[in-house]
Amino acid sequence: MFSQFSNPAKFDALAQRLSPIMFGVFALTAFIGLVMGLFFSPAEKYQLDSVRIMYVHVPAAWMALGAYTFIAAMSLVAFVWRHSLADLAARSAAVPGAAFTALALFTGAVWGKPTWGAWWVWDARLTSMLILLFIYFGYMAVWQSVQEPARAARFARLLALVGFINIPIIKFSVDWWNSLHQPASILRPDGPSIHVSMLIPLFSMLIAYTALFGWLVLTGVRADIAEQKRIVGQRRAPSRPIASPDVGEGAA
Amino acid sequence: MSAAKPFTQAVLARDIKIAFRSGGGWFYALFFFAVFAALAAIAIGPELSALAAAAPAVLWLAAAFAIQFSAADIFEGDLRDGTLRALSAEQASLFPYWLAKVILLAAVSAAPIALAAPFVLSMLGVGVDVSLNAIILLAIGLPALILVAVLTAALASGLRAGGLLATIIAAPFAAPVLVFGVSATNILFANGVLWSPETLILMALSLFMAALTPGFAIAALQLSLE
Repeated sequence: MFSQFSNPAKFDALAQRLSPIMFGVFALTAFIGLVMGLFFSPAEKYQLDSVRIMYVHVPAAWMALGAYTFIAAMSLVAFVWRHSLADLAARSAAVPGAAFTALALFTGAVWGKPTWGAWWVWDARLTSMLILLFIYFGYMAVWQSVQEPARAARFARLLALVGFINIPIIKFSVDWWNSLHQPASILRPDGPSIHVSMLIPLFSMLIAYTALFGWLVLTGVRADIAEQKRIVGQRRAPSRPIASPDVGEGAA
Repeated sequence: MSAAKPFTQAVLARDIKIAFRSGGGWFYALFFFAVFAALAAIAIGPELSALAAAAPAVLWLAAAFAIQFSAADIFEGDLRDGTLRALSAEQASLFPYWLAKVILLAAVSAAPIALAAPFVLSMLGVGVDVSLNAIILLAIGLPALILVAVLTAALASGLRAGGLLATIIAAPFAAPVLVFGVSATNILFANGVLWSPETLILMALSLFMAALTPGFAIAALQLSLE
């Protein structure tokens, strides 16, 4: 279904049309979400205004997992169909994904201070997010440590896939570990039910983060395609004047 | 398939000969384990009750790092001198080669660590009888760490970053083993119960890694030859 977009030119044409739409959706929904979330949504009964961190925290955590799922899916596509743009998409998703994970951890810490009374708690979710950040670090380090992108891509695919299979195991073991060491009476930052006035800004922020992620990945892939064109162009460039010295630039 | 078994044995025999010859350094993993535990004890302080409380964590961390580091250059020699390329051209699959390396790590690095664990634990103020049972827990849990170490060594073998990168990649895989290894050891030391649910999950982790890692490790080895 997507195989026609493995042609870089076709993909580039699509991405060129799609990325301003993505950015527009991001700008609009982020504006709506932030204004409603920060000014017009009600404060929570116990957490007061600190509950507003939710509007930047929850979508970040969601995208942290979503981005890694995207990387694993793209790696699988690249592994099975040798779809070279899928590798580029997976690579472009790594930095935004790690940034969302770091943002989720940071906003979690800022939220934790008034809620739990500590910047960092070895809560099951925080701990598994921290391990997810390490998974992103490992994935990015593999891309960094190989000069030749095509070679790096093959190692990165393997790591992304084996790491993805391992995620449920990590989640399970961290939950178990946490239940042994910590009393279960923590005041959970998310209440049992969320009122509609909070759901609307929360969902706009979810859409905003997703659109931002899409825009970043598209831009990253387009930059990679442009870079490859430039390298190919450079390889061809010097041979022309040597092969046919009489042909000037105007004739070409 | 019939050729696989002698092939595994041949690679293993060669590697064990290399490890045990003069300068082969088979004892490095064991020394690292002992040095790590001693440094941890020095950092924690001489009070035996504090040391005994930290003993399970020290035991599993020391074992995990010792195995991870001893696997770091496990494919290095064969990649550099072309042995792995020749084997890959000649053999239908690199599975026997992978198996030989796993058994090598188990025999040369993990087994001495498991056997030395009761001595180290006794020095950390844990009773001798439960210390001996810790050998069984290590025998159940260390296979998972060995398989992860071999996988990450294979992934890092084609990259020039080496051991540190392999350790970073291994961390998310090692975390569940540490969780259940340490809690199973805690239960053993506190209640004397060896076959707790944690021990069974630790065994499940070893089996899971045995199912998950061979394909990926062999694929990574083949990539490093390209």
